[in-house]
Amino acid sequence: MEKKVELELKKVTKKYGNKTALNEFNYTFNEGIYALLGPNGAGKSTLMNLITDNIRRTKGEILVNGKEILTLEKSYRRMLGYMPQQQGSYDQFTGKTFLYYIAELKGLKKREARKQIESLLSVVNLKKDANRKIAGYSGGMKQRILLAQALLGNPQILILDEPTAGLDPKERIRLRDFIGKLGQEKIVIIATHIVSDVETIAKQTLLIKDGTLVNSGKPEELVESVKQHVEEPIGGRYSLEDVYMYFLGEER
Amino acid sequence: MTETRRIISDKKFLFFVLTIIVLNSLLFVKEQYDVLKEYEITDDVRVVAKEYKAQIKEYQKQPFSEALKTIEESKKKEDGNWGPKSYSMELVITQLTYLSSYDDYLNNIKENKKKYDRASIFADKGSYTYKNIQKTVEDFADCNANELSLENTLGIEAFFKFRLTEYLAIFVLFALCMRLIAERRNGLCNVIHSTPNGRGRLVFKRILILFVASILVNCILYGSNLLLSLYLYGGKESLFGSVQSIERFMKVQYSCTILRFLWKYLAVKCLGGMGVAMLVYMIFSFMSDVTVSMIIIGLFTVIEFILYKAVSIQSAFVFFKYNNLFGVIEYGELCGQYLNINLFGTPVNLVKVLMIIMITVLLLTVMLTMLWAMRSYPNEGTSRLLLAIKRLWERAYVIMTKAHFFGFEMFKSIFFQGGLLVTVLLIFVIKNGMAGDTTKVYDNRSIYLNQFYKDNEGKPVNEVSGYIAKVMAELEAYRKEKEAYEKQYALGKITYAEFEMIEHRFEYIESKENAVTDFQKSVDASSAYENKNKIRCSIVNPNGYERLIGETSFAEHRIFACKAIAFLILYCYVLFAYERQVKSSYILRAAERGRGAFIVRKVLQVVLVSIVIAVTLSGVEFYNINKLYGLPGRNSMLASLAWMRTKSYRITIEQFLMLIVIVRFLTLCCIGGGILSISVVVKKREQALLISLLLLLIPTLLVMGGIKQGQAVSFLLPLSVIELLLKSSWTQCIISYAICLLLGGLGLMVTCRVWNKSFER
Repeated sequence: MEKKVELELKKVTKKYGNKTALNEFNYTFNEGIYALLGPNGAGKSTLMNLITDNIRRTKGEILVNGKEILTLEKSYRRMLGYMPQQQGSYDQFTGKTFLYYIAELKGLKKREARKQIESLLSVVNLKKDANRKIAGYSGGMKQRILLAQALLGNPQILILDEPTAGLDPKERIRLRDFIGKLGQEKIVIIATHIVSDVETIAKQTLLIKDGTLVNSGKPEELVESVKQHVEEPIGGRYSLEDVYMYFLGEER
Repeated sequence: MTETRRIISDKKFLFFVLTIIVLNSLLFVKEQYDVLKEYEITDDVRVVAKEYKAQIKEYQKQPFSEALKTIEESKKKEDGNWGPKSYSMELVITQLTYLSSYDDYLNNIKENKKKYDRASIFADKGSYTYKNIQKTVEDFADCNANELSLENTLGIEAFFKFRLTEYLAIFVLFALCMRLIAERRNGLCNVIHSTPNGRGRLVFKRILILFVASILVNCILYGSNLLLSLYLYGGKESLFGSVQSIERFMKVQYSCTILRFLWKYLAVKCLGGMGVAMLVYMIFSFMSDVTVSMIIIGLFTVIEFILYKAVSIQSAFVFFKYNNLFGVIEYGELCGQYLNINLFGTPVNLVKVLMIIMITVLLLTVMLTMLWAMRSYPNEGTSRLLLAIKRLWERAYVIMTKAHFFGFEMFKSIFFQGGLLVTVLLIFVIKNGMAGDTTKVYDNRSIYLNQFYKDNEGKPVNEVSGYIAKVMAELEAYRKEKEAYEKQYALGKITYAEFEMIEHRFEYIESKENAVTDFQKSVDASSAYENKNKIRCSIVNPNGYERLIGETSFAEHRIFACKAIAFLILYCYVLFAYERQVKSSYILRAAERGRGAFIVRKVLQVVLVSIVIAVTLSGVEFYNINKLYGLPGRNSMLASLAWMRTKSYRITIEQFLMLIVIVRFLTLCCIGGGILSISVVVKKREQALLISLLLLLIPTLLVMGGIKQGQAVSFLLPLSVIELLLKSSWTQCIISYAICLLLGGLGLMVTCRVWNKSFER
């Protein structure tokens, strides 16, 4: 059984010149699915880039099991799986070759890589397109291959930026259920605009606006807390959308 | 391994490298013919090489001075017969003159030192000058044992003379660096950076790839040059001769064979390539933005170039002249030189300093790149420089929004569709194609003939009889004087030595007589034509015009046709294919001016590009001929040129030259119509390019390669104009151009049909 992982962010700040992209962010992540909700420019991607050590923080600490990630270096990155929002890939590679490429970067041995790649191709439903060039993939297929590369190496911390963008409803439900199972053993942080994708699976919801953590909590608790403040929606059912609208200052 | 696989799995990149390799070889061979053309030798290179080899064989075993005397005597017999044999003799004479003087060169070095030792004012043994002289003597001490020989070194000289390879190799390595940072352009940067092996280890692999690539690229490019030289000129045996047997390497101060020198040269080129590639890669690594990196690389290159060209050898800053990016790239220029530079009062060999600096730069760049890879962040925000560039770009867009619709299309063409690169390439080809300063070598007959033409330039043919009579009378007088001296010598009134000296004065009588006879024939022919056809003919020196619009110009015009078609394809293949590939075609065709008016804009682009290509490339041809031979009497009637009389033109030479440019332009427009139709039918740019090359350029290249059947499917003859005019009847010419117009029209029709009506399903 994998050792439990705790990811702690202490007063993490990122400034670009005079602009504060993230302001003294404090949070501790354990196993489970965390939904990051916020408008464009709220700081979600900045947070994800800081966690994946892709940008230098201005202030603060990011600790994994009590140790600073900058001192852990490679061993920290071994725990990471990252799926960015941009659909970047090497178009001239086939899906399978691309996964082998990432597997090598993740330090997987060939035999283990082969096993994981075969399994992940089934999970993301790309087995029959695995030997086609990525240049010929649709948007949804590119999204799925990127998810597959994020899952390579069985990472303990999974960072997913808009994982369901471009997927049809059937695929979205399938993926949501799959991510839901992952959350039992891993830290999964999902940034998304499609609130319904995370409503049923997220353990905690973090609401970010203008670089600040506005609120956080279990989805059902947050929904309960807005009932008094928000007009009853059509259909009588409150949802995370109402939470989003209320806490992030957006009007219906 | 997967990183290497990623690089070599990119077909575009492989195609590019292959193209460079082929281009390098083609241009190498072309240069050998160009060299011969400068000396007015139109024979094949191998014919000249055969003559040269025969000359070498004949004089190889003789002592240099004896061989020199013999060959000079033999050369006199070839006077008036300029061709491969006399040209080869000139080459061998030059070689022998050098070989005879090599010992004197070495002795001079020693003499210099003795002189300075004797002269009291320079005997300051602590001075840099004295140390330099001392060092020179020591450095060249080894060379006293050198055994030079007369060898077939034409191939080796051609190898070292061809400088383009130096730049092509760097170009390939630069393209490889761009491939190595591909994740920056396709958004994978963060993913790779967040993996365990995506930093230091990955960079280390990439550095290894650069090293191996530098070795491969240099070996292939230089190796192919060497093989081609040996194929064209032979001379395998000469590889084991002393490198100082070649005048270019007179100043090499150690003993070694040519082969060993070549190995060293290649090793230095590989090392230099690695150094330059590492420098570029390091800059790319330091800057997160590719645009900023390119600007820095560009600036650095410009500064280095200015230092390399502007600093003189005598300057105190000579260190920066050669220890420089271009000193590395143009190592071929330096490797045969002996130059010491003043390093804190001590003379140090320049090439050695360059080697040390090259190795230091290489090690430093590797270290810094590795360190940076482990510490850097790919998304550190936007640099001020990039922000400034972005602001400039936004201004350009604002200007474009005010431009006419056509301006937008040109903007797209230049900045999005590779037009800028093609334009730079065109400028490069034009600059490279322009004749440098060359000394024309003429035999005596030609010298006199040129003088006759010059003295009578532009005069009507019926006004030169007086001039010819005067020259004949002069020659008659010389002949009589010569005969008188011969009689005196026969009678013993003058000695042989005196007679020999006097005879020198009359050496050229025969050449001048031949020249005036040829001149007379030309005048008579022009007169006869004028009387029969009532077209006024003038005296015009046909030399330059023969090479511009005569039979000897066919090869040059074919090259023009190839270049013109290639550039037209490069500019135009993308015009519609781009819109289809990026799927903007859906939006465009749904707009009010997105169909007919849009096609008109594209056609206008083709017309504009055709004008530019026709004018610039024709301009280079005219410029070169004018520089080498002159183009006098342009206002004379075309019939003044003998070979142009077959078709009874009633226009001046100048008008005819303009007509050639117009015909070329119109033919290019027709070809452009065809390219547009290909561009609109296919869905990808690469397909459009490939099909255009296959259908339009390859047949042309086949014809140039000697496959005559290709003529039926190529635009070579219509584009070269002269060959078609001189070899075909009027009817055939009209049919040819009618077919061109038809094909162009057909292409345009297809374009309209596909774009306006039947689009992709």
